[in-house]
Amino acid sequence: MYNYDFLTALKIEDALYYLDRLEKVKILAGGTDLIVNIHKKSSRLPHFDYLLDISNIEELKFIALKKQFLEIGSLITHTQLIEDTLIAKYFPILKFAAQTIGSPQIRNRGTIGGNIVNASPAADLLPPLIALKARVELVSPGGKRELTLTEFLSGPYQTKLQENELLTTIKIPLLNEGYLANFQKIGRRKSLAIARLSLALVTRIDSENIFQDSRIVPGSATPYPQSFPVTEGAVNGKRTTDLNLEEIGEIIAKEMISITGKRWSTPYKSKALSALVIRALKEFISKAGTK
Amino acid sequence: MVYDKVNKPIRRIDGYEKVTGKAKFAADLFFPNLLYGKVLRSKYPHAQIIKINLDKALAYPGVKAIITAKDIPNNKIGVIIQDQQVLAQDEVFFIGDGIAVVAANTLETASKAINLIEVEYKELPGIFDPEEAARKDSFLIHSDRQNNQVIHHRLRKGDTEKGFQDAEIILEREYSTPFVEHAYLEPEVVVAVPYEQNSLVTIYGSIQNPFACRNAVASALKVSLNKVRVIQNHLGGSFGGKDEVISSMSVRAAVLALKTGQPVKLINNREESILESYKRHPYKMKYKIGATREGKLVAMEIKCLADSGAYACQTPFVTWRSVVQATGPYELPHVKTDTYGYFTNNIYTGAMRGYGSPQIIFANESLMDELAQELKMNPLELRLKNIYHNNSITASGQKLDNHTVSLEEVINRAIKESDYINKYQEYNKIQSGDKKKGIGMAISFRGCSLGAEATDAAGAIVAVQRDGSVLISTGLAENGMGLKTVFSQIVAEELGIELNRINYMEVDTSVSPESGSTVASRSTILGGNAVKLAAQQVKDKILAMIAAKYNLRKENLYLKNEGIYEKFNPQKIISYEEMIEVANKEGIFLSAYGWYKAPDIFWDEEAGQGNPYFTYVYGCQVAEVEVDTATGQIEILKITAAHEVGKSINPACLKGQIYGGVIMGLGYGIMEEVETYQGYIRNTNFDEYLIPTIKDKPDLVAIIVENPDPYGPYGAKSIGEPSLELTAAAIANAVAQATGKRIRNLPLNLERVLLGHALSREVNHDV
Ligand SMILES: Cc1cc2nc3c(=O)[nH]c(=O)nc-3n(C[C@H](O)[C@H](O)[C@H](O)COP(=O)(O)OP(=O)(O)OC[C@H]3O[C@@H](n4cnc5c(N)ncnc54)[C@H](O)[C@@H]3O)c2cc1C
Repeated sequence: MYNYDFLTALKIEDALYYLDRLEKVKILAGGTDLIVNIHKKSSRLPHFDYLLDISNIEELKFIALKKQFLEIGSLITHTQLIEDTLIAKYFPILKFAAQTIGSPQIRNRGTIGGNIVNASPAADLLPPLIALKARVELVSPGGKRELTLTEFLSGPYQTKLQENELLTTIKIPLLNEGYLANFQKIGRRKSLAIARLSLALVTRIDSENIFQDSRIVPGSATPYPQSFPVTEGAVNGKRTTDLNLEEIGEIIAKEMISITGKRWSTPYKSKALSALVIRALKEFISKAGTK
Repeated sequence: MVYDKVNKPIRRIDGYEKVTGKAKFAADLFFPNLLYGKVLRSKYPHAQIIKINLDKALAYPGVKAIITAKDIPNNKIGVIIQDQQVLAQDEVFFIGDGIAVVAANTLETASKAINLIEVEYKELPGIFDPEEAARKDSFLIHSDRQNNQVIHHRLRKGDTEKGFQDAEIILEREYSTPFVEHAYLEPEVVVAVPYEQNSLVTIYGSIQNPFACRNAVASALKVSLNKVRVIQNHLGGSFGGKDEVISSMSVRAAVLALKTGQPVKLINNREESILESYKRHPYKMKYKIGATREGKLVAMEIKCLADSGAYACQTPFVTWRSVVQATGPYELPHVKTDTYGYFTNNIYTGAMRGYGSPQIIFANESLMDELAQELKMNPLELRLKNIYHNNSITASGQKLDNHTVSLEEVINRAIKESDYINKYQEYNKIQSGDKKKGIGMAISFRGCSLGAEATDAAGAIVAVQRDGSVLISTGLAENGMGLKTVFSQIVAEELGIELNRINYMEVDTSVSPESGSTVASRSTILGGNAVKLAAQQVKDKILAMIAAKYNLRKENLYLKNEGIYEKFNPQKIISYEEMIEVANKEGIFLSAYGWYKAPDIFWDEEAGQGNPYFTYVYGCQVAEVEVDTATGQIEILKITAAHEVGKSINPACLKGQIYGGVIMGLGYGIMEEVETYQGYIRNTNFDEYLIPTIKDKPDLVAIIVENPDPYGPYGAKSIGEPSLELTAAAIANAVAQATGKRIRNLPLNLERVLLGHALSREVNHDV
């Protein structure tokens, strides 16, 4: 049982006002992670005295194309990601990932900001967003700062968000021609399934059919989603016809174990992760071939 | 025979209130001065209770009363064996055992107060594996018993030793199945109201079996049955699950209600429900089968071990159904089957849709496919060589000569509809890529109703009111399967009236005739007969009255289309409403009590032989799957389910039973498992206990096969459980064909499919 006061903000300004004056404020967006944690009395939930509902802040509900970025307001729901035409055009991988989340009810309420700040190892938007080199804009009464997602995430269910900060915007750098992206997810059932394992892969295949700038980010494989530089390195610079897929499969599994050590789930995950990376690369190679 | 109201897909009579949210469920009930109960449960799977200190909790503002075992006049309940503690006396035997119950002004207060109860435990080692429980040197879980065995059933036919000598091929295989949760949408709720309308206590609730509940409350309070009144509310699902757990809650609520003189509502949240409510039995099964090279079965030896958990609950009868049906529907000269139940310190196990059949069918139908593979024979062909036909003798020595044995018919229908033969051949060829398809079948025979478990009879009241409207009351209870609709259709058929004249009463144990429990797929066949008998008596009175009044021959009269007619005369003699006027005027009592007792059966427990059931239903399901052999994911493409039901009273409800059963069986097959670790339960909510969602629904084809049974009302038999029991086995066979690898343990989850074995987590909260 928790005792707290419930606050509502209709503007970013109001939210910052509360964050400035009050201590122990917990932000509530869609509530699909937070309410569950409250129900479970989760040990991950720090003590709070105020619940600040930001879900009515219209300023945080936008998707806008800027010169170098696509900007997404933190209150954009998974459903909005799925339905938005800019997302479909520039980053369909986000649409695919959002489609695999929860159920219609969850997708209608759950937000991109909540998915990021909750920082679950199984958060489905994190692998593609990390692979897309997304940045987060954090606003506090004192000002603004911007971090890459990799900088922002600091552990399982942990981020560098400060007590008085609000995540307002997710900025995704636009990709040049030639990039390919793929997201796969394994769940125990077809919907309402937390990822048993997922994989986001973004890469460019240049005119020589050589892999460049690969970003490989598994989900539910490590304590929190992160890119796999060793595997990326093994793919980069390889010609599509020369890439030894089985070998990449082995490398990614090894890289996972180097991060997590051997766990009860390792026998399954190492095999399945190999399969996912091979599948993604195969798809890219066949796409590159047909160009 | 063409019927007017039965054998028709009539809309459910309780559908409107349910889909519009108007239906009242037990949690919706409120009474003046209502108190809320909250249970303090054990901290350990097995421990001695040294001391309970209630002082702080009692002092907490808003707390009205707290009860412990001491407050229960008779603390042991149970339908078969009375060994279940309503509240733990000196010892807790499993993690869901209750220790104390608080009644307070609000649920919040009650929840806070239970945390103030101080319990001093001495943790004891536990037994969590029935095989360990069976060992001679194991400690006794219940010290008043000789050993940890709950029950041992045997079935003996011929001489298996000789049979195996004659066999040209012998296969030995072991299979296992997990604990499974009923996962009803509505968790358990009861409300106990003291001193209401002449009863000592009235229980309202989400109660599957009102009479079993009344027995428990009366016996626990040590009062006579007529002092306790149980009224059933709408049920948000039960599937066998709202029996003993609800009885136990009802006793707790009743004791608190009597102690405080105020109504008490006791409601489980989902976590409490999963922790406290009994599960489907996990089985470990050893099968040995002998056959000739041509695929004729000669002998089978079967040993099944069921984990009964902390209490006996329904284990004695669940394992009995298993012993009767363990071979599957195959002619065999030599059979030796033993089923055992053992106490452990796991969560206790009881009735769940299927009742000892899904486990053994998973084993015996997997085994048939394994044998076919060894014999290099098509699994269908092997089955057809051995299945029951009319006049076959079952393993228990029963000659199937009183009904149509429809096995071949259901098989043919399912095979044809699913294109099994072609697909089986196609999928046997080498398939390129990671994704491989497979098709698999499973068949069963199932005894209808209780069988030789217990006396099998049911009653019904059909009461015509003075305006011609009709009240029906039976002792069997709507569990959501459509019983009210089916029973109303029967009355409408017999009286020739429209369904909107009928109102179906909720079960009230002070009014409704005691009819045993709503279990064993027995409602239509037993209760349907009782309703029909009651309606026929009313009809008889009407016809006699009209025959006398108009000087006609009673045999020539019939009721139809809201009127009374004479054979060969299209002219209506008198309308139903006019007839009612006549009856009112002449003072004729148009109500009747119908009572139906099932035909005699017998079982010789010593010899392991008998006629355990008076009739059987037959089913065949075919599953088509695609397995991602690189990730272990299974996609169920299509399930074809052909079921022989005697006669379908309501084909729409019946198909609903098939669809629902198949989906539940699918969950059993590929995802469901209550994960226990040293007696603790890990997945206590639906975030981790996964059941299928609508997205997991494959293409579903339900085929109804009708061969009216001489004993069923209009020939009707059963469907509730048959629809569930086959699916996991059919899927397992399809997956084995697709992957070339046999999985002998349920569920067929990602790890088993990819690695061939399950992985178990030692620590909680891993990713
Ligand atoms: C049934 C169910 C199924 C689910 N399935 C999936 C799934 O398949 N995949 C998946 O990835 N997730 C899933 N989730 C988790 C959840 O829905 C998502 O993570 C969702 O995106 C969280 O967003 P929210 O707006 O609901 O967050 P909230 O619960 O409101 O907040 C989550 C956390 O983020 C913080 N927060 C939120 N917004 C901000 C902000 N703008 N600034 C600062 N802090 C903020 C909150 O304080 C809290 O700590 C599921 C949840 C449920 C209940």
